[in-house]
Amino acid sequence: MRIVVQKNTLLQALQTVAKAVPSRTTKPVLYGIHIEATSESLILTGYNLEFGFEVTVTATDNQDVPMIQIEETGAIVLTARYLLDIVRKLPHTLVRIDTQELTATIRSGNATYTLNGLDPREYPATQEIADDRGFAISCATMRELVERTAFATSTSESRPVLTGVLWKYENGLLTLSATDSHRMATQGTEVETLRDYALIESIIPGKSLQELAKSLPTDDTLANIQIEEKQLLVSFANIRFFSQLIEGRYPDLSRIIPQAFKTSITIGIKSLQDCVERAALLARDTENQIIRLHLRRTEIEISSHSPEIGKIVESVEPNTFEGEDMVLACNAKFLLEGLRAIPGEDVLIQFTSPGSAFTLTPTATSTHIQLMQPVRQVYI
Amino acid sequence: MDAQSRKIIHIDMDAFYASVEQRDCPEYRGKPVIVGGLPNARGVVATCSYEARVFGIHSAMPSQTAYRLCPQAVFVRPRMDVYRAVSQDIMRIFHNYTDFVEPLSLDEAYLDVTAIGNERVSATMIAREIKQEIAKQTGLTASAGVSYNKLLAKMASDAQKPDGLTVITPERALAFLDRVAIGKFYGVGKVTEERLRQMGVHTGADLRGLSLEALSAAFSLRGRQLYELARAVDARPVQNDRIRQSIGKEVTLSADTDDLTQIVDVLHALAQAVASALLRRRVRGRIVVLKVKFRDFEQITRRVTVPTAMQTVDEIYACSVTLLREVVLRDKVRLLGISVQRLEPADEPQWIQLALF
Repeated sequence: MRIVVQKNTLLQALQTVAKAVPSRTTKPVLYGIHIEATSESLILTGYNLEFGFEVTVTATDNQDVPMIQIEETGAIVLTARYLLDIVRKLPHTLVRIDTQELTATIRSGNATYTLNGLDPREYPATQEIADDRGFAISCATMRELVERTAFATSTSESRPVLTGVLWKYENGLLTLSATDSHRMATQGTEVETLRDYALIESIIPGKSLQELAKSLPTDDTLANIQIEEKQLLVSFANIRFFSQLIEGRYPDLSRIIPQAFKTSITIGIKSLQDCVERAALLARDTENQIIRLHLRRTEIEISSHSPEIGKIVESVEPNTFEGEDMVLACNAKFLLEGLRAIPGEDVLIQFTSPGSAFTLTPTATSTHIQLMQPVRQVYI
Repeated sequence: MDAQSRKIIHIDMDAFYASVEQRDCPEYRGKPVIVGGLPNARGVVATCSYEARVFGIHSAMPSQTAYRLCPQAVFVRPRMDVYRAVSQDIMRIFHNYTDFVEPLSLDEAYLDVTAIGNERVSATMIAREIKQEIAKQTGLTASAGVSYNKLLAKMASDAQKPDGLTVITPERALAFLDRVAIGKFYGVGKVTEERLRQMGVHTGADLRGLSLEALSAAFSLRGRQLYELARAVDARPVQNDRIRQSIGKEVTLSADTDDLTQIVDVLHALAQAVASALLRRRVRGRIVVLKVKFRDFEQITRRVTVPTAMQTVDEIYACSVTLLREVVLRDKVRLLGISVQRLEPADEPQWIQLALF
């Protein structure tokens, strides 16, 4: 392999694929980034067996200074950590990479680095997608879908399906849902499909989606989504993201969203957040980070107390209040994470009883709905 | 209070289970008696009489090994109800002297008698009286150690057995510790002992020769504890109201097995036993520990902490099955155990995070 590439182009590509390089793995070759020069383009891959990123850098005609020039094709795997550190510090805007067997020489300006590489044949093959038609949505929408749901996934491995986000497609609507069994978040969007998909239900690891969301641009760039039997593929700009699916049956969420409410409030997200954060100071060390909510027409009182330390009482005025007064308790961390995912300035919170789940939505008709179970004090 | 002005007594019954058997069955007296698993079964020695110790038998040794060492020994199954009743009598005697009694097991306890001693009644006299009272009421002998902290009191009771009474005064403490084998120190198990021996530490004197830095480097946080123990520093109080740290049950299987169905069945039975023990003591716990010992006696433990304390069979069973999935069953299993830790009183309300489904 003999190539010349612009430093910034290479650095950007490396930073993207490095997100998939594992910090711990049983397969040492995965500590590397797979670099391949074909006759048209340079392809970089990072992969951790659960998800991966692939960036393709292609020379285009309409550039004064070409991003890349390929003199000889070839492939090598170079350890991500060193490669990134080196490229970040290179002195010149152009980088030349030559490989000889499993050794790479990187030159830029007056600097020359020689890196021992790994055999690209040992690098696990990433699955090819047979049919490249799928859903098309904007990257900004894709990012919203993930950011408004993935936070509610479970971090415990006791029920593996709950560490994933359920992707469901039916009749032109793509809905992502996540739950750790104590709270649930769901977000839907209409999508155009180029393929005749029937019903799809796939579970994608929450952790890989969170990495995907970080690399998605916030503009209208189109993201193409394909859901296959064994993997998910999202392509946008010159990046391809692929992730394994989680096998298993996802719990049925269709009936758990309550339809009738006793108390509905709308309230400014920022003021509620500040209030909960202060009240939670004493709840931090308790197991469920418990805060009590006293819902009154005139004010929402939020309190927490710790027998050893003391008590905090806070209050915030609701914008609107309908229904009965109610007292309940909930996990402050869940509430804060939920509020952070709600778009806009106000949130609508609807309660049925102190012992059943309440909903958080931006508006009554939103496609974003969160459900949260309270905590209860019981004698057992 | 001055670190050396406390008066702590450690009482340890001599070969407790075996002595009870010899007391109740005159024909066992003067003979090697082994309480525990029978030699044709697969258990271990729980306690053995002094006559049996001569043959090199000790507790936790497989009964089959004990039989090889001493075929003429009398093997008896433990009668826990009897031992428990005798233990209650002994604890009652302790409580006649002080409220500061910390039982360690059925046959062992620390007593803090600082408050009741004076110039005329020394802790040593109290220890002698307690020994006499135990002998009078139960017909059994105990060994007592008297000193100014728990570490020294325990080592003292161990110094002369059976029927011993050893006093370690502050002036003699270091000289005493210097001669003690390293394995007898509190908190020094087999692994730590081995590592200390590799560092050239065989006695208390050797241990005291190591700097705090050297010990911290080798044992991180526990290094300081070892450093202090070597200097007879031990501030642990005698805790009379001590809630037990853990409740557990374990069982040696009737035959080594790698049959998952059978293993899971045993876990269920253990979960039941632990759950009823928790119920009896009115406590519940937040940590479940699964112990698996393999055919080659290698032993591993796996633990899980749950957000709400548990007490029921189903909860404990579910946790232990989850833990079992983390265990690589690389060989047949010999022993299984479940214990529940981080106990708390069960009659206080607790917060429960409700579930959606």
